[in-house]
Parts: sequence; structure tokens; C-alpha cells
Amino acid sequence: MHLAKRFLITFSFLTLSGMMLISGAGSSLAEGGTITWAKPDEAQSLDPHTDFNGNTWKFFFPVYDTLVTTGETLDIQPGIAESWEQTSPTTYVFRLRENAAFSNGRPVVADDVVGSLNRVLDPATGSWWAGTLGSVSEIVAEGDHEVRIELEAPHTQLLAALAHVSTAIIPMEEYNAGTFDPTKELMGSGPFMVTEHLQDQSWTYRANPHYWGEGLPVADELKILIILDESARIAALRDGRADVGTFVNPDLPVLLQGDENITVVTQETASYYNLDVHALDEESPFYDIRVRQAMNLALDREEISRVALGGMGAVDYPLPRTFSSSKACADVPSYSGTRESRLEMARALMAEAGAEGVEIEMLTTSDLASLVLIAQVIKQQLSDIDMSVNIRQLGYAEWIDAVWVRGDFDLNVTWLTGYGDPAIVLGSWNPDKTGWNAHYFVSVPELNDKIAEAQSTPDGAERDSLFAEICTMIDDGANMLALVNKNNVIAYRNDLVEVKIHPAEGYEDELRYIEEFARIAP
Amino acid sequence: MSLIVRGPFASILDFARRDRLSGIGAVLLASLVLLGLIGPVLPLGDAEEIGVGPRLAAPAADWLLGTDELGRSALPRIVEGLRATFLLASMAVILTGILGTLVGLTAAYAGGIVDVAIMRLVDVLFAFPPLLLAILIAAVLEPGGTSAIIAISLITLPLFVRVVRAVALSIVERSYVIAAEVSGAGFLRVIVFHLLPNVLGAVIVQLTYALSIGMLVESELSFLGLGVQPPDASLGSLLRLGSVYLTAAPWLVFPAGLLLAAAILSVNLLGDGLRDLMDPLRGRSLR
Amino acid sequence: MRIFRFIAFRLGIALVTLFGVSIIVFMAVHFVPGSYEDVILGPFGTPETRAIVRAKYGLDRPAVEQYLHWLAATARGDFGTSLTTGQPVAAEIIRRAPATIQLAVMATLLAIAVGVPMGIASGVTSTSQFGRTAGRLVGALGASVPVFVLGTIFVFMFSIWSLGLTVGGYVPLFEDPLTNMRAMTLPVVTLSVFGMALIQRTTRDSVLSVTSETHVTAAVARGERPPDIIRSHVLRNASIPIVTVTTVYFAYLLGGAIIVEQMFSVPGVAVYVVQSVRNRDYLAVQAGVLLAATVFVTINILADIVYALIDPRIGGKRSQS
Repeated sequence: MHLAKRFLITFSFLTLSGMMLISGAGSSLAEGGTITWAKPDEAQSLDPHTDFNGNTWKFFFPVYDTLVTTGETLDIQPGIAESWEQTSPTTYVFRLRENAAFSNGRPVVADDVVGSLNRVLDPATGSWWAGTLGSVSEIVAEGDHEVRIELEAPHTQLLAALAHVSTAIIPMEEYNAGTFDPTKELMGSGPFMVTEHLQDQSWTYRANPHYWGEGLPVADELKILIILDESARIAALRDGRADVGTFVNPDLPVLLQGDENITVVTQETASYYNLDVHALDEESPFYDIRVRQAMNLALDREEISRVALGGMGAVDYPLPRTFSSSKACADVPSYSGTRESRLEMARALMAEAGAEGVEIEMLTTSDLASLVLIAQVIKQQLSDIDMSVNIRQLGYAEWIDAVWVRGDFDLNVTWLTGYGDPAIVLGSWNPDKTGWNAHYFVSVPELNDKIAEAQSTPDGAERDSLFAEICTMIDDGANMLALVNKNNVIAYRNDLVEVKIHPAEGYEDELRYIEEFARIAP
Repeated sequence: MSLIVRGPFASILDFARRDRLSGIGAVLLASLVLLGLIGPVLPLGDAEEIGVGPRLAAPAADWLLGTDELGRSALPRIVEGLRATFLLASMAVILTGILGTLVGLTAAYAGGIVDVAIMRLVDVLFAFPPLLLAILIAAVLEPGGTSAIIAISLITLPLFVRVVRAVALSIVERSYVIAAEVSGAGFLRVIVFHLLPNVLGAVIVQLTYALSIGMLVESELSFLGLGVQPPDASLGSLLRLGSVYLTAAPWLVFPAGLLLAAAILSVNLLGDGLRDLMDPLRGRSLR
Repeated sequence: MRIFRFIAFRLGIALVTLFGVSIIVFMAVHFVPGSYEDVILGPFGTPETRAIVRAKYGLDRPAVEQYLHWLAATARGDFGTSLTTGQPVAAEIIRRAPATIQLAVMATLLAIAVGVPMGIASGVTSTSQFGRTAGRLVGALGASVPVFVLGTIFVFMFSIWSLGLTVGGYVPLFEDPLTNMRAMTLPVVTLSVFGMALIQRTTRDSVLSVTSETHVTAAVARGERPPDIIRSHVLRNASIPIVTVTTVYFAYLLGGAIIVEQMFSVPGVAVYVVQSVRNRDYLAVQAGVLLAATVFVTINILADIVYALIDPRIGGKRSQS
């Protein structure tokens, strides 16, 4: 246990300076072998270009490469492209690796990249990620190993958008020939390739012999075990059937007390739990902006973190705390002052709005255990401004239907993924562009303009001051509220494997360096 | 039939004297029901208040059975959970009792096509995997007390209807029923005044079994997250959350588990006793 | 001849029952809020993309047409293709069936092996006050502990003292019997406790009622040895209710050991159907439920036929229930 504790303490002091956890240093490593990872959810669909579910992407990461990727601190790193150049504000030129090849042995060429990205952008594909890429005017192959992307307007988040598995490079020649169907199988140029999939049970991957990374992957085989039940996943780690496990439960270190050979780490992410507020329903008290603001002020994010998540996952801002520019968001009203002073303001707003005996419906899904814990803490906090909350916890599909198809809610507890550029998640605050929240979100033209401006402004002081303005407007509108960071909880057997776990993750790829995981020689 | 003929009080005393185990079951059940009923007014603390103590704290003076994952005192939650479990299961079983008795008697008395139609519907319900039925009901109606009551009722209904119908069939042909018909008694009259009193014994016995199955099913539904919704609690939902923390906070599991088992046990013991009383030699079937 | 008419009649009723189950499960999965395109598109679905998905999988057709299409295919033995994986549903069920069957068979056998002797013991000892009380208490207690409570306790116990057993880690029986048994012991025991109690109670009741019958009293009067009396008089006559309760229990287990499969990561059919409800993988849910109902009905018919063969009077009397 003190081992686990030490790492936890180390982690709470970790800054984004590129520190990385590497265990097992000093022990001798075995060649090859199998790395086994126990996780709770099965894949929902197999097409990397269309699946929006972070739990499903985890099965894609070992298989697919993207043009670029992110590093230990969300910095953009080479992927299939070994280098790139921004030749004008709207032109990017990517130089592809000459030694990259799909797992069938065929080299990755520029046409694969062009075809894959065009497939993402094609409205017929129905990719939810297409809008994130901005207005692309054309994607051109220059010979076999160079790709040029032309934009209609500057778009700072382009590289971060291209680092997402939703822009995975798939083998287009085979796709066009009809011998590869991305909705039914996985084939990419990444470190592993799928050899067996037993639904709800396991995925088996073999090392891709044609992978470009030198000496990688270290293991010959990667096995993902799907173990729904948390106690059973812990048991698998304990008896060595799994080397690594991923969890949602913030109390994992307590549950694993006494297991000296299991290390628990928490990884900060660019993702956070958030609260959707229905502001367009005339029946809802939140139709009145003052009631929304009062609700926002009445929240105690610190308590949500402390009680619902056991202190894991710090207070978070619309612009995720993982990005250094998030400081700009820390001073807005709902984050400042004491809770008492905020409650006073909130009560005044409620009185002004004439809101008395307000009853609201708060939706969430049972699909993720932490959501209902957060919902219960919020319920208690809102009772301080005389708001009585009825929590409705729905199954996954019913929840999607109620919130995003029918819009039948006042509050909805969910989470947002932050990715590698602050502007990607801020884009969610423009309902005209994202569309998915347009039925409950007030479109504020000035805010939309500011977001567009931030998206086309290069990183730097000017962008940061835009972010500060945006955060103030977001807080004022109180239509979608960031709550607390959604950390990843990872446990591994320190006597069986050497792992490399990075301090901050933006794309749900918590085991980003799994190709470097190695077994420790017995 | 002695229960009805001799007046309830005397026969209950007599019953408890003759059958200790059932007497114990009855006393246990009565005290658990009482605990559930007066629970809200007992000075146990607030069942819903978050952050009364630290999270997952061991039992102490201020939280006699420890605290849960949100720092709520476990004791008042367990008492509330007991009440919810009893309430949901008994409401469901009352529904089953009323519906099942009416339907079973109708099938037996009407006979013919009505009987066939009813019994085929009952077959369909019987053949449907019970927990899946509950999962689908929760998906259609939204998880919560109402859908749990309906699910438990539909799960306990088929056997209930069969038993009532089987008992009633043996009575329908008897002379007093035929006499009532000849004297011009209507359908409802025959069912309520002539059939019902004679199947009542079987109904009561069957109800206790339905109650014990109902409590099992309720806790299983809650365990799957389909019963009462948080922050409300039932014994099943408490056990579901508690089971995750078993190694770190066993106080979240064992009291609730014991209470649930005791509640079901008391109903089972009472049911056995009642059955022996009604018909000492008849075998019983599953669910 | 009479037995054939009886069998034909029972089969007819079974078909009607399955037809009813098919309608209910179809309606339930199609009218439940939230549909396949919601799962697959999530918050990001637009009316257009939702329509594309519905059209792609034929979900935009009228419900009656979809139902008849499914029914016709099922009658031919074609369960269709899973929306989630694009693989045949039948293959997935066949892959998972061994785990569920093994769980049900082993739990039933264990329940019989423990329940029958305990039932006999508490039946023959119930002449004493203590024996009667103990017999009843044991039976009532076993039927009072929910499976997940038992399961939770087992998980707890075996996370402290492993005793060579594992929580999860299922492999097919014929691939690696030892590992299989290590993984299956806990779920089997968890599941069988209720069955033990059930069988113990039924056996005890049967023994009690049979021992009061005249031929047994006569045998006692003749001075036959107690083990002989139990074997030749008591057990033979008590067997029918025991068989009944055991078959119902077995059919019930095959239909859905959801909680136990989930707790112990047994990749069986029940978990498949539950996950398919979550994913709105319609054909998988429909096939799973219909299959469970078919197993239930079939086992009941088999039991009925056995009784009819044993006792020809049953043919007419039992036909209605």
C-alpha cells in the first residue's frame, strides 16, 4: 500500500512538465510475452470514423494510427506523418513515414491518408468528428509520401483534431476494392492487429510485424479482458490474470489496501464531468437565465470533488484545467468567493426571478457509476437555494433518447472529453455549429463569434485573453457547466509488468504507451 | 379453514403455540415491519444527508453502522431500505393477489375459451425469463418503484393464477355452487360469494410465498439498478453499492444483507406454518 | 395412441406460448424509448444521420413487416445478424451456450446431491421436535438468501483465502477442465443454494406425506429395515414432486442466471441478452428471450411426458396447466 500511496502523492504534485511514471526500473524485462488489460466495457461499434464513444475507441488505439498524435503533456507529436509544416495560415503539409505499413504488409501511402480523411469529411459517412476539422477546402496527395491540407480559414485546432482516432488512417485501397469493411473489422498500421474477438469476453491482438516503431511493440500479444463487475476486475488483478486494470471507482486505492504488488495511479485528463441545463423549455425554471445563474452559483465544485469522487478529480473549468490557459477561467463568479457569499448572490437572483419552490428533474445514466454520485451531491447543494431535485437515472439508450432526442430534462449530468486543444471543447458552446445541444442551448451570437475567433487565433497571449472573455460569457449564460475533472484510475501489477503511464491524457487513451509495456522476467 | 371460523386472535395464539418456528417467524416479521414503519420517526439520523461524516468511515458513536461512499450514515439508510423493500414487495404482492385471484377464479368458473385464453397468457408470462422481463419493463417505464412493483407482480402472477384456478376448479362442480347458479346468482356473485371464500386459504398461503419471492426479486432488481432510485434506498440497492466496498467497508454489506435475509426468512417461516395449518400434507411447487 | 395425442396437444400449446413470447419481446424491444441509432450516434445524431442508420438496417420498415420477417427467418432457424458486431446471432449464442448450460447442469446436480439427502433426513427425523425445527429452518434459510448476497460473500471470502478458486477467468470446459472448474465452482455454488433449499423442502414434504400413507405404515408394522423402507416405498413415491421441482428449477437456471453470470464474469447467454438490451441489438435480444422460453417450455413438456408415461391418468388431467 505505501507504494501506491507514494505514487498518489507524487501524482498530486505532478505538473505538466513531462514527468512520467515508469515502474519496474531495475528489474530485468522479458522479451515478448502477453500484456493483459482488464477493462469494464465492450466496443459498441467498430468503425473508428463514426464511433463517438470513448470506451469503444480504446479498442481502436492499438490498431490504428493517425496523422499526428499527442505526447505526454498533450503536445502534438508525429504519427504516420513524421513531420509537418504550416506553409500558410491555411495550408499544412505532412511528410509521411516511408516505413509505415498496414498489418497486411502494404505500405501506407498518401492516398490512404487522403481517402481516410475524405471519408471522415463525407457527410454520407455521418462522422460526428467532421466538424472539428474546420472548413477543409481540399486534401491532396503530393506523390506517395506527402499530403497537403488546404483550409478555407485558419483553424488552430486542426492538428489536435487530426490526433484523434476518429481520423484514423484506414487501408483505402482494400476499402475501395471491397476487401476491407471498417464497420466489421479492424485493420490499421498501428503496433497491434486483432486476431480474435470474443464478444463481452476478450480481444486478442498480435504484434503487427510491419509496424514502423523500432523494437515496438515490446510484447508479442495484447489481451483485453472485458470484466463488467468491478470486484471481479480487482480479483483478476489480484490473481495475476490481468496485468493492468482500468477503473472508475475513485476508492480503488482503499479497496486494494494491503496489495503491495498492485500500484494505483490516477491520470489527469482534459475531460470533465459537466451539467447540461435546459434553457429553451418555457416550462422549465431554467428558461429564466437568473435561475440558471443562481443554480451555477449554488454549486460547490470542491465538495463534489471531495465527496462524490473522494478527492480524485479536481475542480474543472469550461476550458479544461489540463491546459495552462485554463487559469483564465478560474476567476469567474461561480468559482470565486466563499460558498456563503455565492449562496447569498444565488438567493438574491432567485428572489429577483420570483422563483419559489422550484422543482426540477435531473437526468443521468447508470452506465457510469460516478455520475449518480455527483447527481446526489448536486441535489443536496441545490436544496440550499430551495430547489428540489428529482434524480432520474436511466439506462444508456433511454438516456440518449430523453436528453438528446426528446430534450426531456431540466438538468443532465454527463461528461465532456477535452482532446488536445482548448478550442475543441469550447466549440460545444456554439449550438449553431455543433448542433447536438441546439435544442437546449441558447445561441449567443457574441459568444459564437468569440469562439470562432479563438479557433482561428494561434496559441499565445491573444488567444488566452480571448479564452478569458469566453469563460466569463460561458459562466454568465450558465447553460452548460463544467464541474470536476474526470480522472482515469489505472491499477497495474508492479511485479509483473513495466508500464509507462503519462500524466495527462486528452483523448481517452489512458494506456497510450501500451506498445512499450513489458513483462518483467520471473 | 380454522382461521376464519374461530376468529383470528384465538387461532393466531393457538397457531403460535403449536408451531414455534412459525411463531418466531411471525414475531420476527412483525418486528421488522414495525421497524420499517416507525423508522422515519426514530432518532437514527437523516437517511439522505450527504457528508454527515467522512466517506466510508467505520462505525462510531455518530454513525452507528458506519458511513457510505457519500459520507451518509448507513443506519438510517438501512432502516429506510428495509421499509422500501417491504413496501415495494407487498404492494406488488397485493396487486398479484387481487389480479391473480380474480383472473384465476374467472378462468376456473368461466371455463371454455376464456379459460384457455387466460391460461395461455399465463403460460407466456411463465415462459418469459423473469429478470429480463423486469429489465424490459424498467426500460419502457423508467427504472423506479412503479416499474419494480409491476415487474414483481408480473413475475409472481403466473404461479398464483395457476394455484387459484386449480383450487377453484375442484370447487366449481360442488353442489352449493351449482345451487347458487340454479337460483340465478350472477357471474360476479358466484365468484365473490361462493368461490372466493373457499379458495381464501390457498390464496393466503400463496401470498406469503409470493411475498418472499417478491422480496427476493425486488432486491435482485435493485441490485441491477432497476429498483428505487437514488438517493432513496432499498436493501438491494444498498447491497449493490456496498458490495463494491466489501473489503474496505464491510459495514455497508453485512447489516443490510442480514436484514434482508431475516426479512425473507421470517416470511418463509410464517408461510410454511400457514400452509401446514391449511393443508398439512400438500406438497408445494416452485415460485 | 393416447400418449401421442397428449404430446401433440402439448406441442400445440407450446407453440402458442412461444408465439405469445415472440410478440411480447418484439414489442418490448421496439417500443422501448431509445433505439439502436441512439446508441450508435449518441448525442451527435441528427435527424438525417438517424434516418440513414435506420434505413441501413431496415429499422424504418413498418413494425408488423419487421416482425413477420423475423418470425419467418426464426422459423427457418436463422436468427439474423447482430447490429453491434455484424456477426450472426446464432453463432454468438452457440459460443456462449456451453457456459450457461454448464452452470445450470452443475448447479442442478449439486442442488439434488445436497437437497435430496437433506430432505430425506429432515423428513424421517421430523418425528422429533428438534428434527422438525432444524429441517424447516434449514430449508427456509436456504430459500431466503438472495444470490447476490451469497455471491458477494463468496467474492469476499475468496479474495482473502483463494483456496485455488477464481472469481472470473472462465475458459471452456473442454479446453482446460481444471481452469474451468476453478472459475465455475463459485458461481455454481452460489446459484445452487436456492435449489438445494427448494429440493430439500419438496423432498421433506413428500417424505412426510408418503410416510403417513398406509403401505408405508404397513411396512413399518411388518418390521422392514428403515433404509429399505426409504428406498422401496418412500423415495419411489416421493420422486414425482422432486422431479417436477427440479425440472422447473433447471429450466429457470437456463433462462437467466443474469446476476451470477455478471458477478463472476461467466460469458453466458444471459449476460449476452442483457448487454444486447443495453445496445439495442434487437435480434440478439429477441433470439435470446425466445430461446430461453423454448428451453423452459420444452423441459416442461418432457417432464409432462414422463409423468404421462408413468401414470396414464395424467394425460387428461394435467393437460390444462
